[in-house]
Amino acid sequence: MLLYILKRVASAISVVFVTLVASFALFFLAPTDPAGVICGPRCTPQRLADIRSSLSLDQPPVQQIALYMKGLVVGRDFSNGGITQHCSAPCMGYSYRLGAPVTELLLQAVPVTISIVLGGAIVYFFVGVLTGTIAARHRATPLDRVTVGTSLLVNSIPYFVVALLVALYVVNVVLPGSAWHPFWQNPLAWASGLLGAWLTLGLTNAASYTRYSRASMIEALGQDFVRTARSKGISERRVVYRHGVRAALTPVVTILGLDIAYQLTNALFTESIFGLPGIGVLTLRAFGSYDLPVLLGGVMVGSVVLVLMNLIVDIAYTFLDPRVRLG
Amino acid sequence: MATRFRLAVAVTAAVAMGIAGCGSPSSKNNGSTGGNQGGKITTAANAIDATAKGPAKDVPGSRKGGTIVVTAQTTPNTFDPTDIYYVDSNEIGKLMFRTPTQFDIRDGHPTLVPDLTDVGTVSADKLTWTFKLQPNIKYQDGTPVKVEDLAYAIKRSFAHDVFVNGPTYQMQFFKDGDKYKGPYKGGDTCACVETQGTDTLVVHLAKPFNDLPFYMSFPMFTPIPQAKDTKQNYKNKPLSTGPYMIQSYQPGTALNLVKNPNWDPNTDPARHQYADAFNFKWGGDAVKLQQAALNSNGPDANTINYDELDASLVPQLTGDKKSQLVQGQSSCTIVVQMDTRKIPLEVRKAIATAWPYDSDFKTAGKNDLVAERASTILPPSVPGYQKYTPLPGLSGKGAGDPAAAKKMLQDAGKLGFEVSWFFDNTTPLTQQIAQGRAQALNAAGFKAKPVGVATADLRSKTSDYDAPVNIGQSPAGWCSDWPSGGSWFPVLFESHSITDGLSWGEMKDAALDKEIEDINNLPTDQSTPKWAALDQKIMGMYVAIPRYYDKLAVVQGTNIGTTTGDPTMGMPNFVNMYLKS
Repeated sequence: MLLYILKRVASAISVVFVTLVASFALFFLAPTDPAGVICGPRCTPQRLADIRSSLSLDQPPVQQIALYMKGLVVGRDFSNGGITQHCSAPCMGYSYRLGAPVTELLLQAVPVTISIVLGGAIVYFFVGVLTGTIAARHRATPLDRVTVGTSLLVNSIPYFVVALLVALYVVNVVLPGSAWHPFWQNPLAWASGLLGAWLTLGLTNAASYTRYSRASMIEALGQDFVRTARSKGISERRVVYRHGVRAALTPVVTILGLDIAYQLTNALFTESIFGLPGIGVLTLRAFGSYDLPVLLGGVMVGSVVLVLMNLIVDIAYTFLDPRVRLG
Repeated sequence: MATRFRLAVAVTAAVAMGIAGCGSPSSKNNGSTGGNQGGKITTAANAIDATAKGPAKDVPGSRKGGTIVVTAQTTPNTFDPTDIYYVDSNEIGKLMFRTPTQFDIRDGHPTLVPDLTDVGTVSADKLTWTFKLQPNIKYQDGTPVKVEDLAYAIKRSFAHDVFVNGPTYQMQFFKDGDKYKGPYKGGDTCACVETQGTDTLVVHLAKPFNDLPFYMSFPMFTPIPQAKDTKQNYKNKPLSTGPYMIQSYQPGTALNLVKNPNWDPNTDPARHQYADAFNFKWGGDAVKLQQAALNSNGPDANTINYDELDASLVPQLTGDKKSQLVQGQSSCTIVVQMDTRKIPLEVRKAIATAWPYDSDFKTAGKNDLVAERASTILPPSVPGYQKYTPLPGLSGKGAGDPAAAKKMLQDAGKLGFEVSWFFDNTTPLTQQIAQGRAQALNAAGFKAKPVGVATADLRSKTSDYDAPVNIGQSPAGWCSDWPSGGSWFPVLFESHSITDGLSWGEMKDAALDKEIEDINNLPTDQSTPKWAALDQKIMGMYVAIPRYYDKLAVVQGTNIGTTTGDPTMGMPNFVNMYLKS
């Protein structure tokens, strides 16, 4: 197991490195104008040149990426106008637009996105598995049909439509207002400010998990070990929830892990609509203003999250299904 | 300056006020006020009130208490006062940063008043200005503001390689402005400024700068103690002298301001401290934020959004909701300029005749709340504006007359003249605008050639006056930095404007240069009417197609008291805002 994890970590580092280099290359190959955006409308050639120089954009791209990589590993110094600032490793530079350290911006944004996604995941996982299990137990009954029909209906409405309607007409009316409060400052305010986002993200995604869980449960309940458990006289409730669910969870957990990874890198709609300052909004804003350091920071976070979540899912599998061995 | 941009930039500082009959800024001058008619732009005619004293006159209906929430999609780039130039940071900065002079908004019109100093007196040769610091002004931490701090702030502004975004007029007008590089590189000694005693600030100029007192209202002149200058980090926790101070700041996301206990209203003729706090939140979707403010559910009733009102929400502004609309003036004129070097006069007249003003206005998503049709260079809110009869084809209105334009081209022997411009080909809106213009020009006998470019390339293409296009180069508009023709005509129409990249029409006329400089050197009471005449003369050269004057139109929640606009910035006037309950 340890060797497997080490191999995967090495592979993850190479994936992140290649992603960063590719992002850098795309930025400089594509038409971008970060200095022009900062310069704004009252932009003389001299002012533009000053801005380019202050952002080191007048250096060759290869030199810029080399300095960036160096900063990640050992840190680097930024000199401008007679002032030198040291940026400790892992140094991701300073935002072109805001002048703030990228690390600081990410440290502010990442907890927001994690809070949104994990809270939403708890809602959709438990609601989805519960309703899917109930539907599977009462297969081919009106309850089953209503459950499946409702999940299809919910899934057919675009997420951003639901989110907008909730944000405009439910939040501040029935649900508390959306706002970010760090957990460590006020756990109650943290939960209250995210409740709207959690329920929206959770209940819309629960529809999919209802169907995954139902299908997986139906298959699990048809297995030999379940028939054996029943024949031993174990209660139906225990058969379903102790034996059946555990087996049915395996594929659902796989999807959950990948979904969490996906949502951590795609929480943009939720963050934007509910006004939550997560990494999605940060990266989108950076994209619009050609803020390369922040863009690269967002890319790095996204790629690390994706490879990490894949690794966690693989390891979790071995606990859920003893037949699976890593190697 | 150009128009109010969404996304990443905000409009530059815009100043609109009137100066009438004023020999020197130290004279008291009571001009008549035009009266604010809600969203209709009116000509500003007030001036300087050199004897204004605190406390500022109470806003009718105001009450103290509560937290005002301010939202916007675009984030301000900095709160380092030396680096502030965009209007959002500037307006928010007025809550925190007191400056030598400031604008008091009276009935929707700005009047320059003393703030930290008097409005200044100028020497006979116009090269030395003297300002007297008010006593007993303190920073948020209770330490006194010293005149040396004002001098240091001025010196700091010369470190333009550090503070690249800030205004640069001091480099042009102040003594040694072309040589001094700021305290970090150039040391403390600058011939541009000195202090005398404990209360006198003296500014030395390289050339006359009649409008210096207006410039002194910029945030870069707020005092900064040298010992507390944390350089690039100063923006995270600048020292406040205004009614509010920073409690917490997450760059690009949120700013929380609380009351500054060491602000004395009796020393401040321009600001109030009604709300207990201001919470600024940036980054959400503009339309959603505006809808939330209009719905005013729960805390949204205490919210104001300062993004430009989206056209889709205009139909909701009826009945009770109409009172949630905040309107005001701005001082920007938006145009499509024509390169006089590449297009003969008769052809420029034909372009103006053919121009589809009405469809252009509509396609751009503009409405009467956010814009007013233009026909002059100066907008009505800037002294020097005169509502003369629009020149043929330059009324800013109408569907265009392709037949008449075609005849003009034929008479000039220029049928099929190619008209080309750059446009952003990545958004449907800009594509539609380009298409509309091309259709109108083709119908008039031109050969329209719109050239699509990526958004990122647009700025560099439109700022290249040697590019193979002949209309639509930047700047696509202008906003006053201060309230006179002096911040328009010398910048946009003198020959140096071409190398500065800030030219309308690419004029290179030595006689015109001299005429502009002669007017600019006059006292303001004499220059103002001359700017008006020059406006008409230059429009007669058909240097630009006038599109519209910007207006302020934003929405707020139902619990916010009557909010007025600050015409100097085209933003809501935060310093006068209060909650009803």
